[in-house]
Amino acid sequence: MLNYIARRLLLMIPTLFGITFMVFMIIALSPGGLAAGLQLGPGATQTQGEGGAAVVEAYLEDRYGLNDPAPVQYLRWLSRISPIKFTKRDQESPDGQRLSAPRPINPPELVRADWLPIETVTLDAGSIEPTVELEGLGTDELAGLYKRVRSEYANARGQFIRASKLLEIRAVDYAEAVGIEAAIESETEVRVERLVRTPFDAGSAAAAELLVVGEDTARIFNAAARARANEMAVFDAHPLPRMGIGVDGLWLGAPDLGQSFTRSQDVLELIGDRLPVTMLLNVLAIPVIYCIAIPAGVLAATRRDTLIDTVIGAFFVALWALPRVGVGVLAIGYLADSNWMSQFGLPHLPTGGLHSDDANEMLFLPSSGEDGFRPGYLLDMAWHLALPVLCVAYSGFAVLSKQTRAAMLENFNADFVRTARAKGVAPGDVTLYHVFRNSLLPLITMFVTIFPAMFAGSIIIEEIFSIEGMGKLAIDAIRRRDREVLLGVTLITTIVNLLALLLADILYAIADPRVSYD
Amino acid sequence: MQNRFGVKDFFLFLVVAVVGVLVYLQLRQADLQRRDVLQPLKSQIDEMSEALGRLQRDQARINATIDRISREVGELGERGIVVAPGGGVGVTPPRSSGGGDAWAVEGVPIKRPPFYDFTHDPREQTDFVEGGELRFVLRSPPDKLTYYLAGDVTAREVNSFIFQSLGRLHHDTLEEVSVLAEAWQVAPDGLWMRARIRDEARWADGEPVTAEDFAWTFSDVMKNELIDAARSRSIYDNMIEVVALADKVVEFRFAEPIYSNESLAYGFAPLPKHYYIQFAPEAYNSSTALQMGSGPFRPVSFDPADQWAAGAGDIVLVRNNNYWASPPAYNGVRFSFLNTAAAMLQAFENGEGDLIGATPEQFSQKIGDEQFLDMANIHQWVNIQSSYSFIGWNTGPRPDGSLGPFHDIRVRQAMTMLIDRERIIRDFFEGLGEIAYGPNPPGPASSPTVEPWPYDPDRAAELLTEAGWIDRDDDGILENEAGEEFVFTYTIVSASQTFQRIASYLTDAMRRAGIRVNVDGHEWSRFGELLRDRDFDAISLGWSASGPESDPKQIWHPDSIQDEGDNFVQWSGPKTEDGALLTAELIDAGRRTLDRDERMRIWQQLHEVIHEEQPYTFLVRNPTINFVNKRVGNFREYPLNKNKIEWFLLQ
Repeated sequence: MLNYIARRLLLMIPTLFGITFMVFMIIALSPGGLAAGLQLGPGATQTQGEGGAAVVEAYLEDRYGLNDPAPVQYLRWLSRISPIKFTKRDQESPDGQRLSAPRPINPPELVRADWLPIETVTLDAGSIEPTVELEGLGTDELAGLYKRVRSEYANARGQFIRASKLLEIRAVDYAEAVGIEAAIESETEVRVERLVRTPFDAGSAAAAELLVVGEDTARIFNAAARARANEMAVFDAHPLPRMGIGVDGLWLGAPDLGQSFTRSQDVLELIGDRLPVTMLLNVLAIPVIYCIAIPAGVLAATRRDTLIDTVIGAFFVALWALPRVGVGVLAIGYLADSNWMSQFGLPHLPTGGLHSDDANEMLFLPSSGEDGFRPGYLLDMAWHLALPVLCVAYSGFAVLSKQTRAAMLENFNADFVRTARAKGVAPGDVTLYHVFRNSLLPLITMFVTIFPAMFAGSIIIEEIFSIEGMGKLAIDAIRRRDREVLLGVTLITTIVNLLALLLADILYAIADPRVSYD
Repeated sequence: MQNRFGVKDFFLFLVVAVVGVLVYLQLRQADLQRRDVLQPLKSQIDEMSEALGRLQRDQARINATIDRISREVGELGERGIVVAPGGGVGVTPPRSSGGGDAWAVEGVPIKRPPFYDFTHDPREQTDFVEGGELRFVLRSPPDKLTYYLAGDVTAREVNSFIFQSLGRLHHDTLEEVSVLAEAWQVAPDGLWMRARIRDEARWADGEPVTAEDFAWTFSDVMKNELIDAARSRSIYDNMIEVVALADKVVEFRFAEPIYSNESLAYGFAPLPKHYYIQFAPEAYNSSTALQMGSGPFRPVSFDPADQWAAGAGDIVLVRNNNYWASPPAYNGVRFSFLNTAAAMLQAFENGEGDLIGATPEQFSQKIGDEQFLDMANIHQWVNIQSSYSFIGWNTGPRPDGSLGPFHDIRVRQAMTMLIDRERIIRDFFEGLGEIAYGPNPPGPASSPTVEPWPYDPDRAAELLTEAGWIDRDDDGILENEAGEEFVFTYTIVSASQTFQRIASYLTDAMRRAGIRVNVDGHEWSRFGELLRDRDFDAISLGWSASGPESDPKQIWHPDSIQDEGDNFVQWSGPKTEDGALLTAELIDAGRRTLDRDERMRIWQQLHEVIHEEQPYTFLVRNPTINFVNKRVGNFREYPLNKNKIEWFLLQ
């Protein structure tokens, strides 16, 4: 058994690779681009300033490392979530943030290509000596210095990104002026390899401007490269406690799901807040499904081919066919309408959310005092969960009751049931102890098929009932192209589902002694 | 089968039952403790904090007065002249603290706009009541509320209760009024703006607002590359430096002399340095709601561990007991979030919200519903912040270099005359809204002589014929001289129901005129890409304004065609006699003109050019539609939307 579990767990790893790679590539290949998605949307403000949107986009691309080829980005993501890491060891700031070694910086291709005749500035190449003095600094001083050099490098890098985008825009102007149309990718992007095929033509005004901007960019690059060298030197002196165990280049550390593009929060933290909500919704729905579907299935099997059997079957299949979106909206429209419900003298259900406004001030259990009955926190939450749980549950009735009915009917015809009847066991006892008990096994495996479907289905329910769960997180992430969150959600959802499948298989083996995986 | 209920089973059952009862008793015990001990304590604390709040408010006023008196005394000694004294103790609203103009640059006129909070003071209304919690029900929660990181409309709405700036526009008169500033000066060359901060202005923790807060916010938050404020940074691109000249004197410096520098500066929201300095850039970036401001409301707690986060339920603001000016009538604000318009309306009808924004369909559904009108007032008015929607015609080349039909001004005029905008308003906006006819709302920045183009298909047909679009092969579709049919794609955001409907109307209207339309719906990311690549024939969007005039450079200047700017229709406009671009000249001149009246004349001229050329067909200015619970008092419709601070809550 342990062997089997270990094998199943190991098999999950390639499955996870496959799923995350698919999701990653779909996002990477979708039109529009990630950085663009970060910028434009309802309520976005106009971008201003020189270079406009293009500069902001370049900045975002650099910040989130979006300018590398997609497979490289995927590998980087993998290396972050892998517990075994091949980078320099991260360090942890006092407020718990993960700080990595400074990112490399590359000179702009245009300047590097030895094509632009820049004479006043030479690009700093190779290793640059840091200018910071580290000798004799205490831990606190070192940490302070690190903070300073970090922000210096960030500012220098930001300026460099801006400058190189402006340089590229000038290069487009130049290509237009001298007529190298093939080198123009778009208004703000240039194909350097095409541009450098023709020697630099200093004749035009655009060329002069390109040269000036090129020199500026080279100067700004040098400053940024020096700032990076400084940060690297301080980082190597370990100003903060290091994370994980091992040495630089090979160490063990906690998986890092990265930060949300749109919220800048840790993905793990975002998911940690929402996973329990979704799990609660689903875990509550399962007993509801089982408690209604199984007795109905038993009833249908014992009254086979009667009106009751037909009605139960038809009703549950009809429920199964109803789309969740419609049911959810109708439920809010009627059951949460105080006017409509008061016709029947009933209180209305909530329109959304998980708690009432004053939930924090409630007692946990229901109570009745001088001011009448008060529902308390627990009942209040149950009241809010009633509609969403029902909406998650109702479509599960059909499958489970049909399954129960089929299993019961099969056992009704079995030899041991005939024997029991022949022995003179009461008909009720035959149904309950002989038939029903032996029909339970398939119901355990049903859990497996229901759970992933419910998990997916609760996405819609969360959206309709304004519940902040995994589903809403995923939908927002898709809408906003928040790749890190989407990958994180995919990863966690996949793991939860795979574990549910494994759990069902183990339960099956425990419930049925005939089943063995060894 | 042996399945009888045995002794072993009995004990198992017993143990489970006992554990269950014990858990229940434990919970019950905890609840009892909470009710008997904590709740009375809580109400006591509430009372005490209320009393403390009053004391703190008085203290703040006394402090301000002492500051003023001591400074006046000091200045009297220094200058030997008598200065007009300020107000007495306990002044509300704050008055000018007098105290001389030593801070100002000599020879430059000083502006002293009146202090502004309420347009109509709630305490002067007949049925005024103090207290209560104002509840908004909004669509989808913001990602975060931390200032300069948050970019969406909801976050701006929440933060408007907490953060203040030096000045703003009056809701009703639209004139400049002051909030944190007592007075300011604008350089004659437009390159700096110097402001004197009010002595009494305090942060929510009671510390005074200083010039250093402004300077620090600018250099260490907004211009700090480690902080995810790229969008805010680009808005403040022209502001290069903020300097604290003295404790209460701040100067903003600019790269270019542009008329909007002044409003940029007085609209700049400072953050309290002493509070925000504890957060490293990474902590600031990953924060969700670090909100300490100087406004009338504050979050429940300033502890970063307790900050609101999306998914953590409602956003709750409470009264700022250290507020330095006259407090609003209500005690708190609550924003709750529901994802669908139907659920929002339902919650509102159940009395769970005081105000919701409604759709035109909901408006016409509820306007005749007496039961609804018993509990709520319906407001709809077009104001300056109302957005206008438009169809933009691509007047320049597409990425492949081909010119679409809309580079011809006659075709664009014909398009506008083929679209019955009154019908669009009637059919798709339930008769609400106005025909839009220019980039600015009617007012000083719009030309008084411009009338919307009429709906006139006959005149449009003539114009199209004149432009060479004639049905040459009698198939009902117009062709040009080369025999190409008049077909264009209409690119819209597929999530927008309004534009979906306008698209179906447009297809129909154009077919009758012999033009085929291919509707092309995209989600935002792809739409943005098409916009930046100028890869469309016609496109629909909406712009909204924050004031009576907005800088036209970004949308209309020929320079904004370059570098993926927002002149995505690539319209450069007519040329002047000496071959220069008229719109470029007008916009550059207007931006440089600091004199308001003169600038308005230029904007009016620009409006006339835009109207004549029709790079956009302006469609509708959409009204603000609000359902407001009858318990909200002093709700008024203003040209600048509504003033939420001045409401009060009955019951």
